[in-house]
Amino acid sequence: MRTALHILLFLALPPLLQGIINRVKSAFAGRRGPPVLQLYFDLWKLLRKSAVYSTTTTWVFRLGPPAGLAALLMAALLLPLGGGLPAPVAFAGDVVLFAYLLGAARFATVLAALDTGSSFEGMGASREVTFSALAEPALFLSIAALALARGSISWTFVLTGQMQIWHIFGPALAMLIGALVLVALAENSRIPFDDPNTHLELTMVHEVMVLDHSGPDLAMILYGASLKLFLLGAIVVRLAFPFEASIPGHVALFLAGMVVFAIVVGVIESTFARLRMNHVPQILIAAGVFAALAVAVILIRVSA
Amino acid sequence: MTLILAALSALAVSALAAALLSRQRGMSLAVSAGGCVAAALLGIPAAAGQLLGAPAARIRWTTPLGAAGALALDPLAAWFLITVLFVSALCALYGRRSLLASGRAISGQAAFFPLIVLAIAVVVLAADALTFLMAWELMTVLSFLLVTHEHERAEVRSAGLLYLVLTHAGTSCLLALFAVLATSSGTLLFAGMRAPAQPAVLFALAAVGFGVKAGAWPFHVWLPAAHPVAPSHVSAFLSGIVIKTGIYGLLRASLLLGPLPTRCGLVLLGLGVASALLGVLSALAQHELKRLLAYHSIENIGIILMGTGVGLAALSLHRPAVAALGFAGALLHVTNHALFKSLLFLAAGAVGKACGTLQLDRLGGLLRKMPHTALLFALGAAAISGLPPLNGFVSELLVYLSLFGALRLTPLAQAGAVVSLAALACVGGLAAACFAKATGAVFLGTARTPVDAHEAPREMLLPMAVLGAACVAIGLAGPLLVRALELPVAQLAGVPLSSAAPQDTLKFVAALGAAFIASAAALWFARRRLLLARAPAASPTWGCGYALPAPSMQYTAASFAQPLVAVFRTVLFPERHALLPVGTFPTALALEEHGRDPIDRFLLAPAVRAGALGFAFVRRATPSRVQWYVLAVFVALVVLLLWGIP
Repeated sequence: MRTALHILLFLALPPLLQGIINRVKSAFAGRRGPPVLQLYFDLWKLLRKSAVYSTTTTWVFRLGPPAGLAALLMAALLLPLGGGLPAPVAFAGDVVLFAYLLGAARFATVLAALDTGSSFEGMGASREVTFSALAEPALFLSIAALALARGSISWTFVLTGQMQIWHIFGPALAMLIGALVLVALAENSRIPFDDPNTHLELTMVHEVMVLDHSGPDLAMILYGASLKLFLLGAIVVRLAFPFEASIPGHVALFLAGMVVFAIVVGVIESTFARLRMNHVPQILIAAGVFAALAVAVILIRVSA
Repeated sequence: MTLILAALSALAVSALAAALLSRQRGMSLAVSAGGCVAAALLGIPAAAGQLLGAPAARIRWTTPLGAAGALALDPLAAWFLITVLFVSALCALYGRRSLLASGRAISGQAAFFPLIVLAIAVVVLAADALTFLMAWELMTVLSFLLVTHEHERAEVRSAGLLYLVLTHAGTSCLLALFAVLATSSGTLLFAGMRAPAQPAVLFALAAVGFGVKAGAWPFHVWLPAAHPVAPSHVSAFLSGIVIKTGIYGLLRASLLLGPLPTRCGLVLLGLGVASALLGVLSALAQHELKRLLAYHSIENIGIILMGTGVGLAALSLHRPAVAALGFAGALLHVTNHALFKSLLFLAAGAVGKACGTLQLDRLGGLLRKMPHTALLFALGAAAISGLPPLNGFVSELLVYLSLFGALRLTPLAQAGAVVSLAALACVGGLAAACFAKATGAVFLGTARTPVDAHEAPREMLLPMAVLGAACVAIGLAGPLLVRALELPVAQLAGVPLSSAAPQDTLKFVAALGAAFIASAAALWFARRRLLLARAPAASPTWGCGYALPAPSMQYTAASFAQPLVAVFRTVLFPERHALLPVGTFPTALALEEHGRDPIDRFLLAPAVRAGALGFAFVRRATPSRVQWYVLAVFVALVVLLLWGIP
């Protein structure tokens, strides 16, 4: 029952997150903006369309979207909603599997992009692997900090019952949240790392890698991208909103947190400019430094 | 032990027969491969029995000079022996076909291959210092002979020489190590050896001696030179198996030296971090496929050393559960790397054979012409990048678990663990980047230069397919791995692996891995069903409005890696030869960049130059007649004899 609720929430809601972000951006731009459910409509439309395949491509291109989405779905099974809702699958070390499943999804997408032989997509793929390799230390240092603070390396444990550690490690957790927000924005190719709105010259990471996908393949990619943002957002939300309640109240609380996360992302995208490519590594390394500082603070507190 | 001895004799007999038959290429190669396969069939069941708890087996003898010698099969030896025999049999099968097709004289290749397998098996089984060192030396010389197969090329000769010189420098450390151990304990047998008061000094000797063999940073300079120039099945064997003897040696030495200070483990951890990071970064900067793969061997040795280092540090701090995880990760990664790295080298060999070049920027689009090779290479690439559900992920996960465990040790170990966690995460991302680059540049897109490539013959594909299947099987084996690793880990850590309780983790990893494959397949078929009614259209890749795309406009491997290489310029020190445009109407311009190893450039090359100067001086000061040298040798011999008589 709880597992079903978890799966339902994680499967059904990700596209909504995108809708909220887009509405926030429209509000900033003084437009009415697309309906909140726009991505659902898009997915439905794409699933009923045919596809166009480049004559250069092979099975690698066709396998990219299913394999990428499957990896993200597996990763979704590892995150808890907190409160009385643990992750459907929880074990010591699931934090590592989570990170590497994201890596597997990325690998599938990158190979599919390279299969088209297009220099645009090659460029996007190159930047995707560059930024993610640099974001990886920040993610793992954050995990190490949480593992030290909670004495566990399972998301279910680390992201549940946060209240008491906010009292002890508050400043460190604040730094961690900063680092994880940066990781989430970089991993999802959002401003200030990349602009998800334009498909050509300005956008040179995720969107340009999927230029040649169409029909059901594109539906899987768009849904996968929204799921990935939802997953990394869920981690940030569970850390930033450590409150817990009985199950219905808790779900409401979690969803409210996700809405706030979407609004924050929307505000960032409306008020920041995209960074120049050569500044991105610096910001990612800064995220790693935040996380490393958090580790140091927690280590000192733990051993004191 | 009978089966093991039978396996060893099969290797010896086939080496001898292959040497005698060397005039008939086909027969000679078949005998050589047959011997390796027979050894695997005989030896692997015996070693597997040892892993599952059969009593330890040993044979002892006394040489006419009175030194005692022994071979022993314990769980640690059994773990390495299985890997050695399995991978070498597959490499030999592949080598039989690829050497036949090469059309050149096979010279010693057929005879040397079973012989080096024999030497490595004896290294692993040796239970006394003398047997160990003799087999070790035989292995070194045979690797040199195998590497220099194409000795008419100058780069092959110089790579072989570099290898021979550096590994002998390492061996001299091992001689010193075993000499001290033997004199302080009064026996050459491992069973009776006791470390003297300062085990850390001896451990440093072992770390240098075995580190050179393993290709660990900063002793790695020979590896990227020597491995790529060998025939591909030899490269596969060298990278997959031979460098692992260095790891075996380290583990065996740590057992002989007994309890070690914590700093020994931490130093190994540091060497591991440096090897892993610098190995993968240098690999990113490579433009030739086999050289790229060789640098990845340094990276993977680094990951293995990280596991070993955490194991030793945790052991000295009396945290056997953490140590068990570290050693388990290291041992499993030894086997995993042997599987996927040899798979990748064999696939690279097939590509080289089909296209005549391994320069990444001249290849492309081979997936259409070599579909099976491409599939197997992609599988190996995903496995070496540590992606679930394949085997590389499982062993890296065990190393991660041990590092998380080390977060609760002493402050120095904690600091080491934090740095290692960040480094290992970065290495994972960089390895995936590098293998996306390699796979993409070689197999995807369209051909950059016109080549008439054909799929490799079945006899070459089959060994690769077996290696690929083993990668998948270990990835999904789950708790069975705990059973297999139980005793070797117990030997190293003092407690069995199950006491660290990784069963649940491995069970869920395997289950989710299977679910991953199943859901990807389900989505694939769902997509096919949706498209069944609406036939997809075909068109050229969208060029963003550009009408005449050409293959040469594809993103090259060098461009793909450029952003990462640029970020890490400060550690890579690329050599740059630039002819930049000058003036208003520049005429000529050129830019060339090579990732030359900083250790080679700033340490080894100056040292060699200084040494050469010194030797030039000695040469001028000594007479040039051979007779004088013979006399000098004779006098030295007499003096030594007189010295030794009382």
